[in-house]
Amino acid sequence: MITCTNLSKKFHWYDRPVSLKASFARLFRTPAKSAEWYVLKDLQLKIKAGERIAIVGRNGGGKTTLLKILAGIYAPTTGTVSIEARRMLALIELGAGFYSDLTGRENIRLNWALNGLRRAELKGCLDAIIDFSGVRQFLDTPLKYYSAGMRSRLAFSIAIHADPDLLILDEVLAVGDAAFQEQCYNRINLLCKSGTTLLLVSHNMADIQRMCSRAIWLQDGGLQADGEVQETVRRYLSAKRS
Amino acid sequence: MRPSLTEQVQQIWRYRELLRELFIAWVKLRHAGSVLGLLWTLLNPVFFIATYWLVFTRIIRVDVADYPLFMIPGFLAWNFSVVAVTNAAEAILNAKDLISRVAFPRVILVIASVMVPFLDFLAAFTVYAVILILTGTGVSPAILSLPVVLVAQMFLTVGAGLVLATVAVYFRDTIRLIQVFATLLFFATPILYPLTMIPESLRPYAWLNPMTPVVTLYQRVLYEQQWVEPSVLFITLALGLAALGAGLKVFGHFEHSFAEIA
Repeated sequence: MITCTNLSKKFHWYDRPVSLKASFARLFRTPAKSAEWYVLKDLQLKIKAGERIAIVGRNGGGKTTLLKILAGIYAPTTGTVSIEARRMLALIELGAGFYSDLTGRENIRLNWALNGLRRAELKGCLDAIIDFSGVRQFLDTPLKYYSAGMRSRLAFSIAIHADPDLLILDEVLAVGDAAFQEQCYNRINLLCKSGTTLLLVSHNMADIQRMCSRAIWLQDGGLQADGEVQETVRRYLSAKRS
Repeated sequence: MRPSLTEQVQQIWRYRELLRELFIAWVKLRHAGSVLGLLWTLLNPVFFIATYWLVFTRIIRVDVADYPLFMIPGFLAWNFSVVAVTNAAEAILNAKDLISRVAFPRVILVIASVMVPFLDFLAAFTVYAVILILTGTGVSPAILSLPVVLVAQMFLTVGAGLVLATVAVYFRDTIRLIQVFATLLFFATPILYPLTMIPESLRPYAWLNPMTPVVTLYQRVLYEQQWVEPSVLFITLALGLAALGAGLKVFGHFEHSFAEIA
C-alpha cells in the first residue's frame, strides 16, 4: 500500500532575507550562514494494506516529517513515495483547520471539505459524527466556547467517520477523557478489522502495544528497527534507558 | 512533482466544494460579531457611491458629463482587483498553520480570497445599477457584454494573485510593495479621467497597464452604453487567460514547499 524508496528529506535553514533592507544588505556582505540537515535519510519502507504500524523514536527523529510526506504536505527531497489508497486521512494535529468563530456544525462542513470529501457523503454520517463526538448540544455554538477536549473529540470524530482505508495519526490519541479514549480505541479497532491501514505516531507505549502489530523505530533519519511491535518497543525502551 | 496546468485545473475542480465552504466560512468570519452582518456588503457601496456623488456634483466639478456615472464603475472595478490581489498575496501566509497540517491544493486559498471581495464587487454593481435606473439613465443592452469583462478581470486578478501569493511566501515585503504600487497604478489608470485625457503621444503606453482595458470596458458599457467590439472582448479575455495560466504555472512550481517555508 505504501512504498518509500530511498526517501530523503533535507531541511534548510538559512538567513533568508525577510525584508527588502535585509536583502540589500546581503548584497554587500559574505553569504549568510546557513545550515542544512537530513531529517530522513535513504529510508526504505514497505507497508502492506491492513497493517497496523506504530512509529516510535525520540523527538526530532523524523516521525512527523515522515507522516507529513506520506500525507502529501511535504515533498520528498529525493527518493519516491507511492501510495495506493482509496482514501487517506491524516490527522497531523487535532483541530487543524478549525476556526474558533465558526460553530461546531460549520467547522464540520469545512473540515470535511478540507479533507477532500464530498458534501453528499457528509449527509449520511453527520449524525454519527455528532453522536460520537458528544457535542450535540453545542453544535450551533462558536468553537471558541468549546473546551480543548471537545474540540479534539469533534476533530477525531470527523476523521474516523470519513471511512478511510489509510489512517494516519500523529500523537493525537492522548486527548479526551478515559471514556472517550476507550471509544476511540474501539472505533480504530473496528476500522482496522475492516481492512484500514493504520499509521500511528505515539510516545505512549501502552497505546502502541495495544493497537499495533508492527513498529518502526526512527532515529537520526533512518530505520533503527522495524519489526514485531513488542520486540521493537522493548529495544527502543532499553536503548532509551542506557 | 510539478503539476501540469491540466492537473491543476482538475485539482481545483476536485476541491470545488472546499472552495465553496471556504468562501462561505470567510464571509461569515468577516461578519462575526457584527450587528448588521452581511447587510454591510450592500451598505458599504451605498455610502461609498452617495459620498462620491455628493462630492463630484456639489463640490468638485469635473469637465465630464455626469462625472459620477463615469467614474464609479471604473473605481469599483479597480477596488475589487486591488483588494482581491492584496487578499490573495496574504492568503498563504495567513493559512500557514493550516497548510503545514492538512494536504489540499493551496490554490483554493488564493481563489477563495479573491471570491470574497468579488461578492462585494457584485453587490456594489447591483447598487450602481439600481442608481442608474432610479436616475433615469437606465442601462442599455450593451450590458450583456459585461459578464465577459467580469470573467476576464477575474482571471487577470486570480493570475496576479497567484504570482504575488507565491512571492509573498519568500519575501514578506510584497504586501507593502503592492500597496505602494497600487497607489501609483491607480493614477496611471484612466479611472478618474477618461482615456482621451492622456496626451496622444503617451496613450499607447497606457495599454501596457493591464487594468486599462478592464476599466475602459466598464466605462464603455455602463457609461457610454456602447457595445464592445467582439474582437476587443476576445483580446481582453485572452489576456486574462494568459495571466491565469502564468499565475498557475508560477504557483504550481513553488507550491510544494509552502508548508515548510510559510
